[in-house]
Parts: sequence; C-alpha cells; structure tokens
Amino acid sequence: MKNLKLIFRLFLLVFLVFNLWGCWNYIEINERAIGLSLAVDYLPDQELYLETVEIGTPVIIAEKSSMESAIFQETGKTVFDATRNLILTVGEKILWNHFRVVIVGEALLQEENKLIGLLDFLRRDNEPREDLLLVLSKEKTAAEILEKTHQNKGEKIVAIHLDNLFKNEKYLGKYKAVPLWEFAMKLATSGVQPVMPAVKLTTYQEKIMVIPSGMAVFRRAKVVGYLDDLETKYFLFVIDEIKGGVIPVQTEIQGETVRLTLEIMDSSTVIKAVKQAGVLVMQVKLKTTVSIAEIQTSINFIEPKLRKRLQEAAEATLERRIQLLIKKVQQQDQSDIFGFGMIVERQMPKLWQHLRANWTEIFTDLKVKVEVNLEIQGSATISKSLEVGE
Amino acid sequence: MLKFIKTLFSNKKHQAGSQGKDTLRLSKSVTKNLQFFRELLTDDDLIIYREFEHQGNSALKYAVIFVNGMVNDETINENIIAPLIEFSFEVETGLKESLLDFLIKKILISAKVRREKVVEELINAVLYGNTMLLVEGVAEALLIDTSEFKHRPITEPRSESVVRGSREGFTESILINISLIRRRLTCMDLKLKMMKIGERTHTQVCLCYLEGVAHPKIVAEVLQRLQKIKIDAILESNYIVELIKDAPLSPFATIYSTERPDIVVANLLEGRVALIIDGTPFALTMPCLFIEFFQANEDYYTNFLYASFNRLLRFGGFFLATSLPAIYVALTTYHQEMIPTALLLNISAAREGMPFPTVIEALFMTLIFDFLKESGVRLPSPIGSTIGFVGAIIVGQSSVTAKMVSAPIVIIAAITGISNFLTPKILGPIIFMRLFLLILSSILGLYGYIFGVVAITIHLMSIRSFGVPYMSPLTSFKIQEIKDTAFRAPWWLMNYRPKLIGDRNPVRQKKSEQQSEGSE
Repeated sequence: MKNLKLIFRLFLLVFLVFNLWGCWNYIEINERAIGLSLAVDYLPDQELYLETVEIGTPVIIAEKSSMESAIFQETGKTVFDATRNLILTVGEKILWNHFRVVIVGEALLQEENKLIGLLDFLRRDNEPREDLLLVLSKEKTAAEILEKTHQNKGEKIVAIHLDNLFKNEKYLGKYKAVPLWEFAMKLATSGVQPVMPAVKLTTYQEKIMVIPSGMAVFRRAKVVGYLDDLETKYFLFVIDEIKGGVIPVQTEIQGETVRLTLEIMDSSTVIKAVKQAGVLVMQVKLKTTVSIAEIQTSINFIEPKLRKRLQEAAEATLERRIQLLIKKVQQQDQSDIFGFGMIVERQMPKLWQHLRANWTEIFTDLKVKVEVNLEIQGSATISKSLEVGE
Repeated sequence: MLKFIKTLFSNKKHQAGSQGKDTLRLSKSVTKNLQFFRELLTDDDLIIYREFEHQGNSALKYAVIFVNGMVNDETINENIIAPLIEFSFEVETGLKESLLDFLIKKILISAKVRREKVVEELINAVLYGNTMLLVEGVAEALLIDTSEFKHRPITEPRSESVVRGSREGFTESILINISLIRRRLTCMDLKLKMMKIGERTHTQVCLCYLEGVAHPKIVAEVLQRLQKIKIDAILESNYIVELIKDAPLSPFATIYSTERPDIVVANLLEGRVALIIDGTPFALTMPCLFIEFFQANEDYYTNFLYASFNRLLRFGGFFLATSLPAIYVALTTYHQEMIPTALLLNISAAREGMPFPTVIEALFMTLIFDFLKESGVRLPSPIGSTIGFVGAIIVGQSSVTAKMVSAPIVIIAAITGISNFLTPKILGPIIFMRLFLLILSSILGLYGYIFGVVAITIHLMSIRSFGVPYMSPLTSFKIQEIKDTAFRAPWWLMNYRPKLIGDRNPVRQKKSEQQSEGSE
C-alpha cells in the first residue's frame, strides 16, 4: 500500500514536469533549412508578396563539407503566407532563428501598412531574432540583391557578408546597422523617426557585390529621403553613435591648401534642449578626440601653433557639415531622425505636452546650435611629417 | 516475496552460527590432542603433525602442528624443536601448571608466543601461519608466530601514479601496509585497532585514527558498523564499503579508497578514520566528501597556483564528462537558436543524410567509448593498444566516412571520454550522470537537463558520510573552509583542519609570529 502511494506520488511529480515544458519542439538540424537572409518585395499588380530566401546548403565534396547558399522564391497573399509557401520550393520548413538580414524592397514602402505587416510578423513569430538587421534595397526589387549576387560562382553567403559589413561599421562610420528592435522602437516612439541603411549593387570585374549606400530617412513607415555616405557620418555624430572613421579636412596654411585626414578615436555628443529668449533651442555639443592619420604636405603639425590652426579648421569643418545636415533633414525630409523630440520630452516634459501634437512642424523650424570641441590627441606613430629632400 | 528472502537469509545466518566449536576442549595427552586435531582438520594434507620428545627424558613429549608452505621451516627446526629436544629439565609436580610459562621464558626462541585454550582460535592461528606447540600433561597449547609467506614488493600503485611525491603503494599484506603508515606518522596518538571480519576468511582489518583529532563519535560509529558485519568472506575492501557505507543505493562513493599511504596519512591528519584490510592494497578512509575526488595528492606537493589550476581543470572535466553530450543534444535538437550560425551550418553540413537521430548517435558513441575503455582495462597492454587503434581508426574515422554517425558527435564523445579521466575515482557516478542527463535532455531539451542537474544536486546535498554532509566544504562561505576546494591555498594559509571532520583539534599549524604581528 505504502509503495503504491509512493509510486503514485512519483508519477505525479514526473507527470507535472512533462506538463510544464512549454513549447516542446524537437527538430533534427538536418530536417530544417537554415534561413540566412530574406528579401521581401511586393507585387502591387498581383497584390502578392514576393519572398526570396537565402538558405545555407551544405556542399560535400570528397569528405570535405563546406557551406554555400542557395536562393528560393515564392509568393503569398501575406508575409506569413509567402513564408509558408516557401516550403513548396525549399522542400523543408525554414529555421528562422539564424536570419541575419531582412532586405526590404522599395515596393513595400509605398503603403505604410505593408512594412508594418512585415515588422509585425518578424516580431510576433517566436523564431526570428530581435537583432536581425533591416536593410533597404536601392535596386528595383529586394530580390535582385540576392539573385544577382548569386550569379557569381563560388561566392560567399550574402547574409554573412552583410552581417560582417555592418559589424565593421565602426571603422568607417558611413552607415549604421539598424536591428529590428531599434527600428520598431523608433517607429513606436514619438519624438524620433527611424532610419534604415540602404544597399545597392555594384559590379567590379564582372563580380556583383552588395555595398551599403547611405541611410533611408523615414517619416512614420515611409521613406522620405536619403542620406549619403558623408551625411550619414555627421548624422552619427549627432546621435552619438560614431565609433570611428575619418574626417578629411582641407585648410589653408602658409598660403598652401593642405589636405589631411583625422581619425576619430572617441566622440561623445550631448544634446540639450534650452529656452533662449522664449525660443526652444537644441544645443548639440560634440567632444571629439582625433589623431592625425595622414598629412598630404611636409608642414610639421606637431608645432603647437599649427596644431591649433589645424584644430580650429577641423572644428569649423565639422560644425558646418553638421549644421548643413540638420538643415537638410529639417527642411527636405521633415523627419526628426535625431530624436530631438525625445530629448525635449526628457528634459522639458511639460513643454513637450504642448509640442507633441505638431512636433513635425516645430522640428522643421527648430533652432539648432552646434558646438564642436575637438582634441587632437596624437599623430600615431610618427611625430614629424614626411620631409622631402632635394 | 520479501519475507521469503528474509527468512532465507536468516536461515543461513543460523547455519553459520550453529557450528560452535568453542565447546571443544583440549586434553592433557599429546597423542589424544593430535588425534583430535587430525579428525577436526581432516582431508587437509598440507597440515603437518610432528611428534617428538626430549632425547633423554621420554616423559617430555611434544608435538607441533603447522601448515606446510606458510611457515619458515628453519625457525621451527632451530628455535622450537631443537631447544626442546636438547634442553632437559625435571618435571616437578608443582611445575606442571606453569610448564608453558617456563617454556616461553626459558626455552622457546621466538618473539611472538602466546598461550591459547580455545580450539577455534588455535586452528585459525595455525591456518594463518602460526605453529601450535602441544605439551604432554597440559590442556593448553602455545602459538608461536612462524609465519612466512611471500608478498609483493612495495611498488608504485598503478591506479594512482604521480609525477612528484612518494612512489610507495600499499601491498596485500596488512602488516606492511601498517608499517608504511606508521613510518609516516610516528606519533603516539596514532591508534591501531585490529579486528577480524569474515566468518570464513577471518580477514584482518585494522582501524586507524589519530586520537585527539578524529571525532570519537565517528570512530565509534565505524567500529559499530564493522561489528555488525556478518559476511562469510572479505576479499577486497569494497566488500566492507558496500556493507557499511551511507546511501547504499547511490552511485556516489561515501567512503574513499586509495592505494597510497601518503593519502591515508593525510586523511588521518585531517581527522578521518582509516581501515586497512588484509589481502588488498586498497585502504579505506572515511568520512568521505565529494570534494575529495577532485583533490589529488599531488596538489599538495606542487606549487599551489599550478595545483589550483589543475583543480579547476578537474571541475571543468567533470562538467564536460557529465554534461557535454546532454548539452549538445539539447542544443542541436531543441535550441538551434543558441548555436552560433557558423557552427550550426557546420553541424548541419555534417549531419546531412545521417540515418539516426542525434540522441541515438550520442548514446551510441559514448557507449562505444565505454566499451573500448572496459575492454582495454583488463587486457595485457599489447592487446590494449590494439583496442585503442581499433577504437580510434575503425570506430572513430570509419563511422564518419561511412556516414553512420556525424563527425561532431565523434568529437563530443572523444572530449567526454577524455574528460572522464580527469577525475578517475568517480568514473562510475559520471557514467550514470551522463546517461541520466543525456536521456533527460533528449526528451525535454535544456529544460530537462536543468531538471536533471537539480535532481543530482538534491541527491548530493542529501547524502551524509558518517554524519558529515557530503558536499560540506563546497557549500560554505567561510574562507578557512573553502581554502581547499576549487583552489588549493598555499600551506602557510591552511591553519585549520576541515571544520566538520577535524573539529576536535582544529589548529593544524599555529600562525607564525610574523603573520600574527602583521595582522595586528
């Protein structure tokens, strides 16, 4: 009797464990196709979504197995419908956990809800990651990016190429990786508008490559304009996300036009919302540390006087560029991608209550002051410029 | 059913006890006594009965009984028979009672002589190599230690070899083993209690402890448990282990066994009790804690930093050996999102077209490793290396090329197998834990794995070894107690003995003056 009771209790314990496991999801790896990147387009005349997916496929040649990728395409009435339809061509259910990149076609941006639908699906489904990168295709369709790069023989996987590309943004500062969560967050928050990096194709020696091409500026879920590579850099300065890259400077010294390059070592930006004479003014203060990376003259900039001149010239360049960028975004795109609204909300919450409703108009005419504090930290491994002997 | 088994066992005990030989008595006549022993020890042709008398006085009749091959013949010839034949004395009436004492004191040339009346004792002693001397007119016998049998020389133990440290290991002879301990621990606090266990083997067991350091309750507990043993034979120390250990159903050892006298001495010094058993080179020490399986004697003989590093390796090895296949199976079949993409692609490529599920592969390969290990253990080394070759080439390489199992699983099995050997004393529990976790994680993924770990932890936490919690120093937060766990503190910091075992005499070394000055 006692044993029976004990066995019953043990059974209950074990049984409860089996009930608590949540999503039981046993899959052998080789039974699922590992999706790496996805290109989503919309065919307005057929009212269909066109999805192109890049799948990692093992290639086994004489005991050595390596990974290549193959692309598959399918259409569907909705994003998820198309995704499931992909089984028709792929043959296996796609594993979404490892998606790195989602390439958004421009057709999807014609209607706001199309992009929202895609984002909703990516965030709602339990498999895709929140940190997958969103990329806008500057080609006619997003599918082209995958299709054309796959025409190269023996090329590496596009998803991994793009992933690496965006990981190395910090050395260049000309584009910015935008993960899904960031885009969705900025889309949902008032006082800031999202941006998305754009990619395009280029051909070099008959090889087609994907390269980044600035950033797309969004107002709500619609593209309103683009920033080019340089503008992106100054945009990154303002939102305090520049991690590296170079600043080319051109200045007049001793009657000579000197070109030199400064490498950004460190930069921090503080934006303050202040009221000056009853007018809301955004004060953008940059504190940037640079080092001299390249000088196209034999003038010796290690001298304090010249260094000061150089510093002032660089500060002026940076300031002017940033001012120009902000003006352009304010007037052309009319989209607060800098998040000035959020800063006002944080620093002047009461004022924000009044401004919130028509922030877009207020942003257009917002006064922005830029102040650059540049410090030339060093000159890398040589102190004197290269001297040219007779 | 249970009752039936119980009655079976109790019957057997009855039979063993009812042989009562202690009712038998010796007589005063040598001839009668010889006849008596001949009948008692019938059909044993190796026992030699030698009757003789004094060369002049035939009233002085003697007989010796001994076992051929277990005694030193020369000792019997020269130290017992020769003096008795040659040395003449008058048997006075008053002397008869103290005749044996007279022989012991004046005639017999031997260090170990004792009088004995009990027949069973006499027979056991003879069978162990003593010589029994019967004297006419006395209903008692003398036992003279003439035992001499061959034993293995002291060699380095094969199961516990070291790079640095003593190369002496125990042998099968209990006296040699005790001498090895005593040579390392010449202090009068070392107490050695001899007892005999085994109704047929009469195996000598020596209980050692350091008085004043070992807890008397633990000593008493060990003694009590030993006295309860009623088994007929003790051939190896594990007989005793299984009969007296705590948590008898658990795969985890709660009694430590070792072949090395230095480990036994170190354990005695920490307040543990040691058992040395005749006929096996494996001594037992208790209480035993889980952490002891991660402590190698060499840790204390090498630099403490290096020793601490090795400790961490052992913990890592333990983790890998128990969990690696389980975690691999859980990740590849339930949590693909947790594997880095590049690795996932590689695994996927390797698994392409594999006929069996990952779980089966993992079970199969780890079991194959156990097969290879088990088949190699008891083979002579030339064949052993063949096994290794077959294992590596045929099973490892060919199974992958033949697409029977995927390459990652072979790597996993190999790493698991190798990390097994970092903690060689808990191979058994590790195998069970590995299987347990593997099966759980194949049913429930990481969730199951975590449940398995929780279950094992609860089990380990609930075990006690002779009253001491099995996991005790690992769960402590005090520096002095954890100084010898994941890290081995330098000797100048190990001022106290382990708290729960050596608490009787906690100070191992007094803090040197310099240190105390520094702390003030």
